[in-house]
Amino acid sequence: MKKLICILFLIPTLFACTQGAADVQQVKAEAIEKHERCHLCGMMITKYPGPKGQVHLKGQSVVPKFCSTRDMFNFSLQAENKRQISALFVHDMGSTDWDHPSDDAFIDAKAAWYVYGTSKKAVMGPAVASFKSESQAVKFAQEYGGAVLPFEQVDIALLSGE
Amino acid sequence: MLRHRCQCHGFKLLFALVTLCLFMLSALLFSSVSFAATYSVSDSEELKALLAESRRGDSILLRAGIYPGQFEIHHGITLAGEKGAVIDAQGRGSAIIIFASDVTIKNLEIQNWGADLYERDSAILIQDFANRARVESNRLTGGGFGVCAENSANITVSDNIISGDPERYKLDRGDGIYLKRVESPVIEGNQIFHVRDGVYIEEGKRSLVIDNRFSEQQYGIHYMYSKHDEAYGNEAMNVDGGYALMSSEDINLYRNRVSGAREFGVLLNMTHNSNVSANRVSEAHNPQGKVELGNEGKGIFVYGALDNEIKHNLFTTSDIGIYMAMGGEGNLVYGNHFVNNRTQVKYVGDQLLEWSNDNRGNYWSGYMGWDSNKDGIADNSYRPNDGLDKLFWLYPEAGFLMNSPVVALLRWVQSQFEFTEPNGIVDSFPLISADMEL
Repeated sequence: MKKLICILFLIPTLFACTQGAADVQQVKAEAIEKHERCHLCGMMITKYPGPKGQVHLKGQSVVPKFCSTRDMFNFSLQAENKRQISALFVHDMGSTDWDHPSDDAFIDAKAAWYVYGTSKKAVMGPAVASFKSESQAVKFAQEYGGAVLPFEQVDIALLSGE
Repeated sequence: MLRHRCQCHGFKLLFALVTLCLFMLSALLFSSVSFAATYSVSDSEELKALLAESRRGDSILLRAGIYPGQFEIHHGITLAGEKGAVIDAQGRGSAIIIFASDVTIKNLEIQNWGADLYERDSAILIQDFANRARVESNRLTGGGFGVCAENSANITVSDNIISGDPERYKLDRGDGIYLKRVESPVIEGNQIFHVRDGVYIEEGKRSLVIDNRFSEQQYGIHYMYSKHDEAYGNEAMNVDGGYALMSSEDINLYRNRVSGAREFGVLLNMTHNSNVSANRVSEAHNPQGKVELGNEGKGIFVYGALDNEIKHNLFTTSDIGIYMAMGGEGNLVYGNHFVNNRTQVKYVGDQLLEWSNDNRGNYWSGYMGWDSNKDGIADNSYRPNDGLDKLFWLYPEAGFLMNSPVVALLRWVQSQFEFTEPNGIVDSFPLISADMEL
């Protein structure tokens, strides 16, 4: 019986293989429209300050965008979403305005550096400030407080304040 | 002797001073009473002239008719309308701006004010430190905010009908009632529709929102960074979300209703120490909802929220009864009724969560258990989801297999033997019958 279960658990890998080939093309960050609402909390994204995020999903034309990098992580770290993700983008706060981050400042979230626990206000709880360069993240942390972390260390436990 | 006389003289002087003060005080009090008057007006010019001259305590009655323009109130007066009195702001700015405390606006119809949200265009705009404003039994119809207040306290907004502009895009409309840094407001018995949020409360404290009706809008009540608030007896229909609690603390949300929400009945997001009880959520359904996008209609959606109690609510006929994202584990869930939702519970995390309190769990439609000692609690624990549910959440592409006989067989097998580490939701004390009061 265990074998049967194992076989069923293998089924998804078939889909994974067939999808791989189609995902080669470069994924580009999309602009956040004035009316766009956060995919997770539903709020108007541009109404609030701080870095935003967006998640590109395999085989989906809709690109979920988020009011904050925090909500982007809260979505993308969920087990059911993790493996659907083809690309993640966050604002580089080293090159754009904190209150009105600009669409041309989106960078690859996986290569970005994050400052957690800063006094700078974003939305939906403590800010997860994102930067392209580690040195800018360190400079920001010296000015506004917080710890500098790579992408992999931003996890649910951290976001939940555990 | 000399010294004694001096003292005596001093007492006399003091006595005279006190008498004088008392006299002046009573004169002041008396004057404000004696001069408080009721005036009536019948056009905008008269109204403007009177508003400029009026004193605290005066009442101005607007006779039936249209009053074009914008009006400022700088004294604690009452502005009331006869039936048919309409203030028309002619499409720009705010119709009434209140600068003083103790202003009452009642029985008026206000229409056609501006829709510049950045300028806070409102039917009634309450300025900083104008406390104890009362907005009662008015009919407000326009593009911007219905009532907007910042930095004030003890505002009452009751029994108004507030309608936004259905032609405008939802997020470009004003909120029915927008309160930022307002302490102890009371919002009661209003009907609010075609707006962005019915009641939006930011950085507030001790608000009371009761017995309002919300429809055709984003959210019924939207709390942001608010504390010690209470809401009951409200009803939201055909909204994006019923009651959104975000980054807030100690909110008591009970005995409210939501039906036909597209996204959620209740949202708990970054919210702590709050109580969500005895609410009824039905038909939360997103016609565009997709499992892959996680945007199906949810009776209650919990993420990043800790130390809240979700109890004695009814979640029924929705795409998902309760969706708890990872990060929402630390909440108490008991006494709820999950009835006929397409998916009763969605939780994809790795923890094993016990959803009961003090030996009482939840009621689950479709669960048939034995209750041999007739205490109302089933003999066996209940797991609303099995490992295969989780498998299909993780691999929605395999969804077409969901109803195949092999999967049915596997489900049965899994229910008989535990193969994997137990995770997901367990209710060790499922309620055997529904509470008819819900």
